[in-house]
Amino acid sequence: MKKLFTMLVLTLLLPCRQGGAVDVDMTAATVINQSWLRYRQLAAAEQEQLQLTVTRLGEAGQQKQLTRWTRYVQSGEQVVLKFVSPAADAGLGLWLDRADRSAQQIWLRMPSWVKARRVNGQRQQQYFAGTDLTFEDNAELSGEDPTAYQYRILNQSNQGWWIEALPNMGSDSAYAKREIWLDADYAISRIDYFNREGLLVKTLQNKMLQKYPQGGWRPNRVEIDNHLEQRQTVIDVRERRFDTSLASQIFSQEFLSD
Amino acid sequence: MTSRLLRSAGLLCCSLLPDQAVAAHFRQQLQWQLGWVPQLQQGQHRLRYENDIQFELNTHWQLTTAVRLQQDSVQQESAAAGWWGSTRPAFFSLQQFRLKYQHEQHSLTLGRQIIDWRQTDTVSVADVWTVPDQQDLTGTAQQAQPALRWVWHANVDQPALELVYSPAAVAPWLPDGLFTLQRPALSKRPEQAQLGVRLTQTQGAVQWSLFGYDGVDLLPALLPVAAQLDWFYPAQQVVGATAQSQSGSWLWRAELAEVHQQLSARATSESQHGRYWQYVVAAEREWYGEQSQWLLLLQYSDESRRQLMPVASLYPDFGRVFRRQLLGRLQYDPTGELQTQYQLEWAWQPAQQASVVKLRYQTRLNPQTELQLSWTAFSGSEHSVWGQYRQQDLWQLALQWFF
Repeated sequence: MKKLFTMLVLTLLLPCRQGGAVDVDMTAATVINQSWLRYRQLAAAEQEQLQLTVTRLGEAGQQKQLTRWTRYVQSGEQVVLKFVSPAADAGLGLWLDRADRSAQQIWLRMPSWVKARRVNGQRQQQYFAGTDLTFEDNAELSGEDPTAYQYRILNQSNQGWWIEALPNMGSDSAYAKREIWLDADYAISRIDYFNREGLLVKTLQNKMLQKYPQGGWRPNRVEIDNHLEQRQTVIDVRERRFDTSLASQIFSQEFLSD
Repeated sequence: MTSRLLRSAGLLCCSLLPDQAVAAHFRQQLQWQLGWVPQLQQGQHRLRYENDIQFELNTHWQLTTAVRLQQDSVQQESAAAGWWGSTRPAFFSLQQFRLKYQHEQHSLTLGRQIIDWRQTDTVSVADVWTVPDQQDLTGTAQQAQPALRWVWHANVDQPALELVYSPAAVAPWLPDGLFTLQRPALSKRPEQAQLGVRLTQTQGAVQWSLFGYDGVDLLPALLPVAAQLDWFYPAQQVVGATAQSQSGSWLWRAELAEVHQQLSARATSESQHGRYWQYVVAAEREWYGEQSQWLLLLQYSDESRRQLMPVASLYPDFGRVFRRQLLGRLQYDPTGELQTQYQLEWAWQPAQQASVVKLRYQTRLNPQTELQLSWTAFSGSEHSVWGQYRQQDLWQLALQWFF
């Protein structure tokens, strides 16, 4: 009944457009909000089997396989990553507890550690597991805190929006600016990340975008080109399962240590 | 070959179960350690093979096995370490064998498993379940023990409750052979059942827990019974709390516990008691460069109102490592990707003029291979815990292959 009520409210609140013309009256913050609302409305939790391919310029790509669990809660989200391969990374785990985004907790388990350990929550800008995703990027793959940024529409057309996101004063974001492209269905198709010197650090492109009848979206392939490191990380989603009955114990120190 | 056989056998067994979709996560590693103990002019090497397999039988059932084969240049016990472990690392040991059932908010784990409630580093008063390896005081090896464990995880922002029962503790690895002790052979393993309960809660940036433990002190006492000396493990109860929180750039950890020990009248003419408080406070900070990362950990531990049981153990009282100890750790990661680490750790007990220093360098040579170089040095009087090990300074090189 509660679920039915939530769906009804969302249906009334969300502009019901599938690939139609963009609403020119919407503010940048509203567009970003709509995007993540639609992303998160599909289920309270999900499990994905991912394959990462990390390629340095002039070198052969290195593949990594992992499982990602995500749980969405009212004020944030929780994300758990567990690596399965290569063998040296098996057991590597990360738990980003952003149930309260203003008090983020990061738990890390290295394969050589006997258990998961809470690490500094300000470890935002560090790359994780030899990929082009920082701790901050990993968290924001499943949602961002719109109150932490100032948004501005740079351009809009029938195809969608081009939005600038500047972190608020006091934010611990590693980026000085992001430029976000969204299509007419509010799906994020590309993000450019700029550092404090104004240099383009990397570009994230969401590809093979899957659209759902009720308005949600998911990328089945994410490509991150790191222009400074001359490295590319490709995330291929091999399997995705929306499952609201995911065991609560997945989002715990114990599960990461298992 | 062995691992393939194990995996095939496991998959075959699982596939016989009706409607089971089996996935197996598989990890093998081979480690070769070369050590040099300068005071004893002694070289030692160790070859260790570890095989971990986790079968996901379906979304609810999980079977985990972990076995270890190990060959040391120093003499090993010939008996295999089976269900109840061994007083020393043996050639074959069953590290873990556990079946886990999880459904929504509940999980139930049965079998030989590692239970670890520690939150602080090197010394922890919440460390009531770990079976210690007193042969390798600064190492991270852990023995699993047979237990039944039930965990109830409520929703976000609600507490998690954990209950653990173990019918008897696994025997610890004591420092036999490291000190010149003349004593009767330790033939007994602890007989006491163990019971533990823990409540964990996260509120914003703070995670705290309350715990209670009723079990055994794994430091045996040697007592005369009917004109003969015999070993007894004192009963032990621990009640405590832990907390972790981030404040600005610093991550804070704290543990506090009251420990109560007693030897029954069966072991001595009258029952004997010991009671004391211990606590650990730690602060950790990280600094970030363009790509590099520095970590500084500062920790202080102490105990108070120590009332000891008036019995002889012959082993050092390892609880004394808590006494007015300062611990510092400086760690440097040049890539920021946790692939290479330089680490300096120093534990110092000024009152006893005792300390242990550990330098470590670890790097990933390629996706399958890791190299580790370390130096550990102990100092202090023979009345201190670290001082007892002062003949055990160790240079070590370890290569690990993952496949």
